[in-house]
This record gives sequence, structure tokens and C-alpha cells, in this order.
Amino acid sequence: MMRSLAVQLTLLAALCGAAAAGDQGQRLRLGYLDDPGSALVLAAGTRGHFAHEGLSVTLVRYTRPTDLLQALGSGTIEAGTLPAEEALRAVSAGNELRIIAGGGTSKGTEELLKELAPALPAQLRAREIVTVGADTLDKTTAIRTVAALIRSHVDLSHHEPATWQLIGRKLTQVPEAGSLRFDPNPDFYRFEALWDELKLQRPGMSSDHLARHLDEEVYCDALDRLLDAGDLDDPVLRQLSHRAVCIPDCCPSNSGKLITLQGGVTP
Amino acid sequence: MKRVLGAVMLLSVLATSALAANLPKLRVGYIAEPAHGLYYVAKEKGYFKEEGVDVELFQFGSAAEGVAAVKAGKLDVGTFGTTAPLLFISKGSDFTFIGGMMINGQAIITRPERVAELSGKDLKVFKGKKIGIVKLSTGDVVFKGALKKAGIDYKKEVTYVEFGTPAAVVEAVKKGAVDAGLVWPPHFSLAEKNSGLKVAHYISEFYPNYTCCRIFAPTDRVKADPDTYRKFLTALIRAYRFYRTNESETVGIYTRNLKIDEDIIRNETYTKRISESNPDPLRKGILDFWQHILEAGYVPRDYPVERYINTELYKQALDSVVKKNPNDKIYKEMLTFYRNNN
Repeated sequence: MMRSLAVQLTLLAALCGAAAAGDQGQRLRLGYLDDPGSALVLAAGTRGHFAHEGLSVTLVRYTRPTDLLQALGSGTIEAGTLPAEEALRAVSAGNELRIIAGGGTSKGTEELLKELAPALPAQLRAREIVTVGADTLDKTTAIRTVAALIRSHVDLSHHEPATWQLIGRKLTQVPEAGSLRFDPNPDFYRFEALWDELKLQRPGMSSDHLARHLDEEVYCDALDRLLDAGDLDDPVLRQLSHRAVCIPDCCPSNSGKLITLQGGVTP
Repeated sequence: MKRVLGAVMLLSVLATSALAANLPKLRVGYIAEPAHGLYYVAKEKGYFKEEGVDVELFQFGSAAEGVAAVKAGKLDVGTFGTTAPLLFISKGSDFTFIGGMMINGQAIITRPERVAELSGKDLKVFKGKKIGIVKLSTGDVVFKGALKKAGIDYKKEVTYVEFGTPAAVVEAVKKGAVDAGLVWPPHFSLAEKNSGLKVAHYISEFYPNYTCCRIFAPTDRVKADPDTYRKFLTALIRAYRFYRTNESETVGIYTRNLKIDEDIIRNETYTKRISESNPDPLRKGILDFWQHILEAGYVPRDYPVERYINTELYKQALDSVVKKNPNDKIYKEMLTFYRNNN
């Protein structure tokens, strides 16, 4: 009797645990660099965007890109934020990283670019903070992560001072509102320019090496996820969708189904 | 006697299987467009095996996933539109266009009360109008190309509203959120039947023989085994002839395998000839398409895509078929079409 009760209690506890884990969502350990450019990630944590996307994210602070890269390599974290230059150099060196989202850059960069270009473009663009995923990061989790970052971008576009107030305690330096620009799009052509300027294409490297490490498909899927969800009907989101170069959702998605004149797609 | 017959049949089956087992294999990916049935004609009529290639077909639900499968080495041939392979090539993927599967096929739909206004023979009727599009779809790219050819500054004189799917475009037209929408087969047939919308134009009226879905393959595999790819194209050329001369059986094959309503297939493929299943590589069409993508500002820099088009394999395949059938009218037409478009 006692034994049976114990078994039942164990089973109940296990079920409760499973339910709790289910409620918490897919677990992800995400490292962030102590840099204002990491704001999309921090805002996604404090504003509940990760949870909204069904993720249970543990944010881990790093002060040096090398430590974050090492943590990615050892599997301590599955994703993280890095300056674009460090991320691209790691990709060029053969690390199995994927850039899944862009991030924040000092606005001064843009102004300087206008004044100095093409004198210093590589050094300036290289400071952009991007989000990278390790090769262990599965596609579904990556899409949800990027969807949360896009939600942060929309937030920052509309409520920047309030967002900085929320995330400021996680950063050593909090910039003035309006001094950073954010772009979650891991746009191939933007990073290709930096890749070329830094001369990162090495002899013997396949011509699509950079493209294989820039996951625009995840970004496009994340945009689709938000547009389909319909709970974020926002001009900022529509602008992101307009600028993204995504392969169209071509052709009837009717695998295994019959398209009929009478009722659209039927099983 | 029965036993002898049975044994002969068994031997024949075994011999066929053994033959197939020895043939070079090609894994071919495609999407279920109404005009993508040549693969099944070639398979069901036995052309692939007769030409000496064992083809396995894989249907995909999206072009992006299909191209990714080619890139990952899981497919030897892909048929996933024109935009997708061009974008991948422009980002360094080493694919080569070797043939085609579909020409034309895009339509402009509107509400019935707007048809008279929008169906004039001049594209200028679209000036000042709001058009629903799926960005970078074939319809979007070639419509802008057609507007440019007509001397219309399409960036200033036409407003585009982007949607994620053709179904969303249809819904926007239906609600009046846009004046017209650009969709592809079978969505305009579905829109006419289910939503009461009308086709104002087929884009081919203004832009004949534009490229739709192209056949491409990893360049290293084409270079390593051109003979197998040539045999593959030869089978498709023979399938095209069958498609042109056997309507009823072709409609059956397309319907059965693509799982698309027979009326849609018959109407779009034969009755109205909105799209054509044609294996020609259409080199000029691919280059035009790329220019339209650049001019529309979707891609910020040019790329030498002409280096990634191989018309030779198709020409050799066509020549071999013509040589065997010197008086065949369809093959002669294909040769003329090739000369005009490559």
C-alpha cells in the first residue's frame, strides 16, 4: 500500500515536473556581450518575448567575445551575441557558427560612414553586435529566438527610453536613447561587404562559405511566423518584411493533399 | 504453359529491376505546379529508363526547402522556380541551370466589377493602382519587367502591397484592399471558382515566353557526369512531345501525380494554354529575369549568372532526338524555339 502510494507520488511528481518543463518552454542558454548592441537579446528577456515564443532562456553575461566564443564551442551556451567582425572571423576560421540575426550598432557609425566612407567602413561596420547560433541550435529554436528578437526591435522602435530603463541594469554602460540603430536582419549583402573588406575568404574555401553561415532562412521564417500570428500588426514589422530578401513561399503547399476547385486544399 | 508464362514474366521483371539497378541514379526535387508534370510523363512512359537514367522524384512544399536540399547534396536536380536558384547562385552556391520545366503561367486577378477597367490591352491601366504581390515571386518580377518594357516607371506609378502567400493576395483582392493581385497556377483558377474573382490578364499577353521554373543541378555533378544529365534531358524532350500530342493521357498523369484537380490541369495546360511544360533552358529568359530582380532593387549588386547556365547539354540532347526523328514536327519546333531563346 505504502509502496503503491510512493509510486503514485513519484509518478505525480514526474508528471508535474514534465508539465512545468512544458510550461517553461524550450530551454536555451544564450550568452550576451556586455555591450549596448546586445539590447535586442536583453529586451527579449526582460519584456517576455522569449517566453511569448515558447522559449525558456537563461541569459549569461560575458565581457569578452573570446570567452563567449569559447562557451559556444564547448557547448556551455547554444547561442550568443558577438561583434560582427569576431563572428565573421570565427566563421572564416572554420567555426561552425551561424549568424541568425543582426543587432545594434552605434548611430555614430552611420554618420561617420557618411563622412568617411570608404575610408573606414570595415572597422565601423565590424562593431555591429550580431546574434549567432552554435551548430547544436535546432532550426525551430532558432526561428523562435529570432522572432523574439524581432519583437524586441519593434519594442525598441516604439518605446526606446522605457526599454533601456528595463535592461540597463544588465549593462555596464547604458547609451542615450536614440544613439543606437538596430537591425535584426542578417542580410547577406551587408555582411558580404564586411567579409570582403576584411579579406576573410581564404584560398580553397567554398564560394558559398559565408552564405552557409548566414541563416537568412531562419530570419525569413521568423518574420513569417510573426506575420502569420497576427498579434503584431505593426508598421515596423512590415518594414522589416519589405526589406528582407526572402525566397517566396512559392507554389501550392499541398504535399500529399489534393487541390480541388470545389474546396481549396482537401486531405 | 501458365507456369512458363509466369516464369517469363518474372524473369522480365527481374531483368528490368536489374537494369534499373545498374543505371545511374538522379534524385530530382520539384514543387507541385500544374505545369510540372513532365517528370511523371517521362517516368510513367519509361523514357528515363529507356534513355539510361534511373530517376527518383521528391515533391517539396516550398522552394526554399527544395534548394536547401540541393545545396546539402540530398538532390541531384532541383526545380524550384527561378528566383530561388538565382538568389542562391548570387550568394556563391555553385548551381548550373540545365533546362526548364515551365514557361509563363502568371495572372492578374481582380474583382468582377473591375475587369472592364483593368483588362485593356495597354499596361498603362495599372498606373496609379494598388497591386497585391508575393515579393520576388515570378509574377512580381516579370510584371515589373513588363511594365518597364511598356515604358512605365513602375516604382513611382504603381503601388505594391506585399503578402506572404498567394492565398493572402486573393483575400486582399476579394476585400478590395488592393485593385488587383498577381498569382500563379492554380491560385487564379481557385480564386475564380471559389472567390468569384476574374483574371484581368495573363502576363504572357505583354511578356511572351518568360521564364518560370528552371531545372538546375550542382555544377560539380554536372561536370562529373554530363552524360547522365544529357540522358535525363533527352527523356524530358521526349516527354514534352508526348505532352503536346496526348492531351487526355497527359492530363491523367499530371492529375494523378501532382494531386491537382483535373479541371485545373486541363484548363490551364490545354484549354487556355496559360502555362507550358517546356524543358528548354531559356537562357535569355533567365538573364532577363535576373536583370528585373536587379532593377527592382531586390539585390544590391550584379553577379555573373550567365556563367551558371549550360545550354549545351540540352542542345546535344535535342540534336540527338532530332537526328533519330528528322521529320518530327514537334522536335523541329523545339529546335527553332531553342535557337530563338538561348
